Amino acid sequence: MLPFENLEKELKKARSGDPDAREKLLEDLRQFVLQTASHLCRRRLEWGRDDELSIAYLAVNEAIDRYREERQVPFLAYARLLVKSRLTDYLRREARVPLLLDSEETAAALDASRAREEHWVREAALEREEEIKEFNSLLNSYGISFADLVKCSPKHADTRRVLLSVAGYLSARRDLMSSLVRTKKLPVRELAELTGVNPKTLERGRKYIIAVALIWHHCADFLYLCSYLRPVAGEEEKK
Amino acid sequence: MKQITGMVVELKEKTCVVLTRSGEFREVPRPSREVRLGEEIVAKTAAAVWWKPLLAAASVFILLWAGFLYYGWSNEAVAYVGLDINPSVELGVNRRLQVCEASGLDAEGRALLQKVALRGLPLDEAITAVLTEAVSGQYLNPAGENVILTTVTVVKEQSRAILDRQQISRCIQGTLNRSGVRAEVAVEEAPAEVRRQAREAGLSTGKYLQRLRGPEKRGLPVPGGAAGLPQKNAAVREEKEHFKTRELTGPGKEFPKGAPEKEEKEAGKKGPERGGQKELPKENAGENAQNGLDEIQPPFQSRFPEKKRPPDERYGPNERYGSDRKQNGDNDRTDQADQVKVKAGKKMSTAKWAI
Repeated sequence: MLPFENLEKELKKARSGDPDAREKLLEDLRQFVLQTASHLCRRRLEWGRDDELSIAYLAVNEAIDRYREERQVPFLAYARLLVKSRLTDYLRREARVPLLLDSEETAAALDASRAREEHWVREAALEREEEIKEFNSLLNSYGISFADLVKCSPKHADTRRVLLSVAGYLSARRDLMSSLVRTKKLPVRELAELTGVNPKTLERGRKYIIAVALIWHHCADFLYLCSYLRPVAGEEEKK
Repeated sequence: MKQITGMVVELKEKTCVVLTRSGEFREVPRPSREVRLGEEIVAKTAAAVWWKPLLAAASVFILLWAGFLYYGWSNEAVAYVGLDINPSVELGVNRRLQVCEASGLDAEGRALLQKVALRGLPLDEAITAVLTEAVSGQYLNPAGENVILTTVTVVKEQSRAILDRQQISRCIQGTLNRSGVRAEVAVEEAPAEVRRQAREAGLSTGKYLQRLRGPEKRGLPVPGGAAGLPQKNAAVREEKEHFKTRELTGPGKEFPKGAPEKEEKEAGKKGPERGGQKELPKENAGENAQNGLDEIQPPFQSRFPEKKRPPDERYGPNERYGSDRKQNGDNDRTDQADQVKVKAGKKMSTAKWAI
């Protein structure tokens, strides 16, 4: 359902030296590479035509080896950082500096491998901050604030699990999500019918469901939040 | 204090909102160090969660308690007004001069109070109600002579100012006039100590006061069992007038606060013309004999063996009143029997005691 679910397993296998797993993982990540690179270069890239994609693809491959879980950066975010860094190098060599890439000082920081790692940590923190700001403004467009979420966040673990499962269901349903995005309202009736959860419960956790569903639906945009908040992980945490 | 780990999603002045891995949004105190959005922090759960409702509950409780205390304070009996008609009732009065207690001191008093609701009424209305009820219950006889002895006992000295004896007297008189009942009205002040002793003796304050004043006065307000004999009326009235002028409504009638001793002196001064029984117990006994009192007469002289004894002791221990109480019971029964409200004179009282 979510890009993370199999990704982490595949990543583990690939890192432990399973060539098939790595192959499959890279295959899965093709879309991600395309999106990321296109975004960074600010133009549509195509496989087989643009070198940037090859550079990005190799960077992702490198990311599989260099990724460190303990850094608290989700793999995709890490890969994105690496892709960004490699592309910067490449474009600088090509003397075509796209607008989105960083200034001279970041380039200097990229020199040493150690400094580069630190740089990425900082970069990651910055990205995360941006991501949360973006998420906040997205929530605001639904009339939701974090303070609201604190208030209506279900205190009971069982309730929370129910609401999380509803949010997961909702985020996977394109039709319901598009209705949510269009009307900015939670399709309570449909959800109640489809999931069998009491409409009152849904209504009470309305804001919470919307917030979580938005994170999961826009997983590619909210890499950090999305990797942080996972339905499975949430339950495993308890055990 | 539970520790929670979460990603900071919003920073406020003193707190921050974190998203935990289990999907909870929580507001936690902001760590002292610099934090950035998206950082994962470990924070203690806000203490505010438990003490705020507690504070709210506590303040509500305090308010209620304060209100309760105030109500108790404002509705506390600061003074008692005892009415001895024939039924004896006593009204407790609060700071706002409203009746907050009403108790019947004998069976008739209780019966009377059951017919009228006095609580919360202003004192004068309550008195009017009691008297009206007494008239309609024929405790006060329009044709006969009646005595209403009223005692005022101030329990809280600060509140003395609210009670005006003259006003009480006027109120009683006014009510009686409207009902067409003639009665002698006396309003006396009795110290709290006397009231307490009266209660222990099982008497109304007024009746107890009469006892204290000595045998010659005893018959006055206690509606006499043998009263009502027509030929005695003149004597009775004379007696009554006598008391009224000299003891009850006269300028020096007030029962002083420090009381029994002064009273005794007063009595002593008057003593000679009345036999001086208080000064000399033996003479007193003699006078009793003169007046035809026999041995059943409560031995008041034994309670006044010496002038100088402190007031408390002088009245003697409670047990001594045992016999009195019994006799008083007899009186009441007699009262009920003949329903006579005319004051008994000295001799009648004697006769009554003889019964």
